[in-house]
Amino acid sequence: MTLLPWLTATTNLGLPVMLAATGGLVCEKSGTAALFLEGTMLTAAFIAIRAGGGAQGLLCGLLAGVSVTVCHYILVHRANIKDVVAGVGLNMLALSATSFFERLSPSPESVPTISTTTGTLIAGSCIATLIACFAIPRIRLGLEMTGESTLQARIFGIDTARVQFLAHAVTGTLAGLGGALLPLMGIGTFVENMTNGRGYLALAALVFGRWQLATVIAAALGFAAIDAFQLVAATQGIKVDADVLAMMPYLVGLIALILRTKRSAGPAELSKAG
Amino acid sequence: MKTLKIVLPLVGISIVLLTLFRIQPDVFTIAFGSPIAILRLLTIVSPLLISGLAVHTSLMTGRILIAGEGIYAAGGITVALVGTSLVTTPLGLWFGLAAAFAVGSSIGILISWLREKKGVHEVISGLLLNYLLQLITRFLANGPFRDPSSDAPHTRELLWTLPLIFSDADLNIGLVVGCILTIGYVYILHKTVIGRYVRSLGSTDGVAYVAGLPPARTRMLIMAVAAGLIALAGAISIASAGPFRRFPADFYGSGVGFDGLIVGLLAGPSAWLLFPSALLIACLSHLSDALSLATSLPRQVGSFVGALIFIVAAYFRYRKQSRA
Repeated sequence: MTLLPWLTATTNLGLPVMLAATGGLVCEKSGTAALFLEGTMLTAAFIAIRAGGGAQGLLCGLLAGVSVTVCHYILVHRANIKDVVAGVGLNMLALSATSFFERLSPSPESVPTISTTTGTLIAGSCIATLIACFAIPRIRLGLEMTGESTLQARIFGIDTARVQFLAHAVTGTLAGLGGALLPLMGIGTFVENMTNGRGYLALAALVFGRWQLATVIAAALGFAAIDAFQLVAATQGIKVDADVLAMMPYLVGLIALILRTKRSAGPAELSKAG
Repeated sequence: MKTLKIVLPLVGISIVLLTLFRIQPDVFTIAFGSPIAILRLLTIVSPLLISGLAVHTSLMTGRILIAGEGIYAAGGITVALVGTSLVTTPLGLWFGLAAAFAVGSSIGILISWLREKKGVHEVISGLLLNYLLQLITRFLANGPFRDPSSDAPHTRELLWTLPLIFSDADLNIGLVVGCILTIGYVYILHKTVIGRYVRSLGSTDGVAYVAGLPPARTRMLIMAVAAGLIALAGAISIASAGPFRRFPADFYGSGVGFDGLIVGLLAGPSAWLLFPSALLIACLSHLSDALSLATSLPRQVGSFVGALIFIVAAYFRYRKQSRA
């Protein structure tokens, strides 16, 4: 088996998951569970194709991602709905809405796509910006203190509402970009439920990576490599049932959670949220 | 405020229904205009009631059983495999139903163990398990256990099946099982000391702990029973005389698991509201089917409205307490 197709498929599938996972990291660091990643990616993928693909598709997908996460912010921090429930609700809404509109009027069959190199550059620059932001003590401290205890953060004069809103906006930007890149670096069209649980894999990467940027990125790319294997297996003459190959990322994700999770690894406000 | 919580959603639903009735009166004739249509509605209610009950049970202990969709399929394939492969007497069917409950319970224990012992949120593990169970059941029905005599991918037909209540509408005994279980559950939850302790687990571990109920173990037990019940609902659907009698490869995705989530959430702290909640969601699904028959609108409109109801129900029923 040649490695190049696998590496290309890993990059194409891995960048969206990696961006979503790093976005989720920012949100969870601020103390809010990022269950909405799947719905955010799906909405962004849908809008990116409807907007005609290419750069404008990418931009519209990004904006759609931010819209979903801002909705989540309003539901959780303004309407006081539990973050896990709001996330599940938004995912259900995104899946049903995109399926409804897709059945009502199908997406264009082919839109201008984005090359793997361009996608890698965009994702790389986003991650570099995030690392640079994390290096600024004021930002890192504000985020982590809010995630550990909003009450104590407020006592120290941190505007926690602002931190949480900005964290949601950054998550929306990254997950939206990830979602938009999924069809734009791949098949160039939208199919129902095309994220197919990749938002949840991003979450698993987050837990498996113990909320540390480098390990989260590595875990996301690892899951994507397993996911990509099913795409290249058929072309490389590997005779394994497609369903068995398709279940591998979820199986590995689950095993990874069992083996690596440590109860106290996440931000304290996350466990309080229940 | 309490009255407002009940009146506002009812007013909203009434406005939507009246508008729909004014625009498309045919939809109501298709959905509710004949005894068969009403029986078909009850056919949808039947698994929803059990699934909603299971979700409600887990919600009472402060946990969300979100893997219902996958567990429902797992229960279905278990009864199909045990009923056809191991025993070819009526006993095979009952073994199959028991095995389905056991498989569901094992999945419930896994999810709960991950949460209580390893700290993995049940929603993350549950959703990953959903995808995994979907692919496993599809692989089994399409691969090693596929009926070789048929072109369509499904398991072999069960020789012995559960009777139907009304064969014209394929209404199976799941409705009776669901009603009995719900009545028993309402009694235990609201009228017994154990029920009171279980309800206390939703807000604090303290009361249950003082009462001698270890919170983690109690939650695991309740999650096991809840997941077992959903698997049983799936098994009853497959094992009933009627449309299935065999497990089709595309059985996953019936929506029972996710709709059960809405039913459980809508019922809130009052278990007796499970009946009207299941009926409401079944009506919604039934109406969306009728709407897609009468107009060109996709039937996904039902799940879209269902998701909106979920968020509204979450606002009224599942709000966090102010932390600061």
